[in-house]
Amino acid sequence: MAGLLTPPQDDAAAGGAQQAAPQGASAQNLSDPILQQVEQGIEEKVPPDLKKDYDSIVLAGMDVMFNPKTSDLIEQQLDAQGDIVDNVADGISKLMMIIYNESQGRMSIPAAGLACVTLMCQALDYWEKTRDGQVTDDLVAQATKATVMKTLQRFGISQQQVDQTVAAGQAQGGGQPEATEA
Amino acid sequence: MAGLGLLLGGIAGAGRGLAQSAAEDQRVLDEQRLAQQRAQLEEEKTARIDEARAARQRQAGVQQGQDIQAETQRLQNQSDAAAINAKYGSNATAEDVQALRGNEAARQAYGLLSPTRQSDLEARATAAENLGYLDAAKETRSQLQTEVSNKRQEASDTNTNRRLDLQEQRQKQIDDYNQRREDRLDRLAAAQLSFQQARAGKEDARSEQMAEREQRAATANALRGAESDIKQLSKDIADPLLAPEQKQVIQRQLDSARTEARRYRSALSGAGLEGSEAPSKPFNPDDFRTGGGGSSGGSSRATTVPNPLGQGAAPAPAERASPGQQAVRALDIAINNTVRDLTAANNRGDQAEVARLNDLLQQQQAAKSRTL
Repeated sequence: MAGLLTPPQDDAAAGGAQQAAPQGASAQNLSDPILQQVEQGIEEKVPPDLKKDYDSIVLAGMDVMFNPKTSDLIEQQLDAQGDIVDNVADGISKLMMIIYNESQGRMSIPAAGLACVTLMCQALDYWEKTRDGQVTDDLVAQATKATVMKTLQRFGISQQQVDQTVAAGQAQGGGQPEATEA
Repeated sequence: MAGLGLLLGGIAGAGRGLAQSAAEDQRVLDEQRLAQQRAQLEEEKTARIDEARAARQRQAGVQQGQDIQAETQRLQNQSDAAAINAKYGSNATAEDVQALRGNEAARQAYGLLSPTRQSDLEARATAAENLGYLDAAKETRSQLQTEVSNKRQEASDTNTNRRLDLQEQRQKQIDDYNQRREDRLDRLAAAQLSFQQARAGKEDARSEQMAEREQRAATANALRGAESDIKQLSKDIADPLLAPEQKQVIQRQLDSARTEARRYRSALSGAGLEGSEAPSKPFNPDDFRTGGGGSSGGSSRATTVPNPLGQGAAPAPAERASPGQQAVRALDIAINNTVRDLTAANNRGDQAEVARLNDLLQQQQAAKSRTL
């Protein structure tokens, strides 16, 4: 997983992808409208200065989830004991730690807070498509909250700190991920 | 100075512009690269989803098979337990039966036979339905129907083949019958000719009597042959698998054999061989060739050989020809037969037989001349 945050460049292929997906790493292959909406909402809220970090974290996370060499991890995580909300939240938070460790501590935590929700959407999409799961608004809300909380906790941010941050954000008129409001 | 300041300011502005332009270019390139990487990862994701679905389908198939197998076993155990309880008045459960299955002696004692293929498929279909595997149940039922249908077709084919074999066998019997009949008539004709030649040759009374006895013996033999054929043909015609056209042929053969036997009896009776006192009645085997009942038809002799002595054509006792006329007629028959045999031998290319028959023909013609 070396170089997770600096994926190899392929200029020739990049030219082809330019027409297919000109807007950064956003590809929106999610077929579920609820998941599409969540991911779109997250990407709209990514501040320009975090965009590059956000994209890099999402790409690194997707690489771990869907690379043939490591895709067993998502399979095991989805089939683990417990409900899908816990399994996805637990899996994504672990994934964020893997990426963090690979980045040797250079990963932006605010960008990670947003990217983990996007990766959660990818995981739920995979779950829905491979296990005939049913994605609902309620499920997504619960999963978002659990994923963000678990991820931040793994980074040493307590529930209280999160709540304070959310409250401050709301007082300033938004700017925080919807996940924390769910 | 002001001009210099303006110039430097312009240069600095141009530098900032160039730097901004380069940064913008880099940003676009970065976005393109990220987009391309994302597209690749989306493809990977799609591939993983397909693989995972296929694997889960395989796994589900295996699980379904195991579930159906277990349910089938349970149903069979239940059914066997019910059968055992009905027979022995016991209270065996499906679990008891399952335990008994491992014990060969117990299996035999309770008559727990392995299910047949059909009953196994039936049980599997029911098991699949019980478990809600409706597609598997439908597939199993369809398989069951196909196998039942195939089995019926196989049975039908076996019957068809058996019927064809029987028809072939019957055809051979028909041909054999025709051959036996021809041989019988040939022997009779030979005895008749011998008798007539004995008469025509003005041989002594003893030789003529001997020839007549031979003719009677041949007739008696022919009767036995005809009766044997009647017996066999009566049996053959009763076969339910007989083809209609073969039945017609055998019926004709049977009628013909009965007529033949009746005429032999009549001839033998007239000759006093069956205790009758009636005067001797000449007998002509060619009479029967015309009525040939076989599919291959009668002998050609029926149309070529005169029929002076046969039934229907035989003169009434009061009109009987003189011995000289009878001898001439007999010689005519003999000459005709020899000519026919000569033609046949010629056709076969049997030179030795041709030479022998030529000699015989000359002798017969000479005898006829002498008689005339």
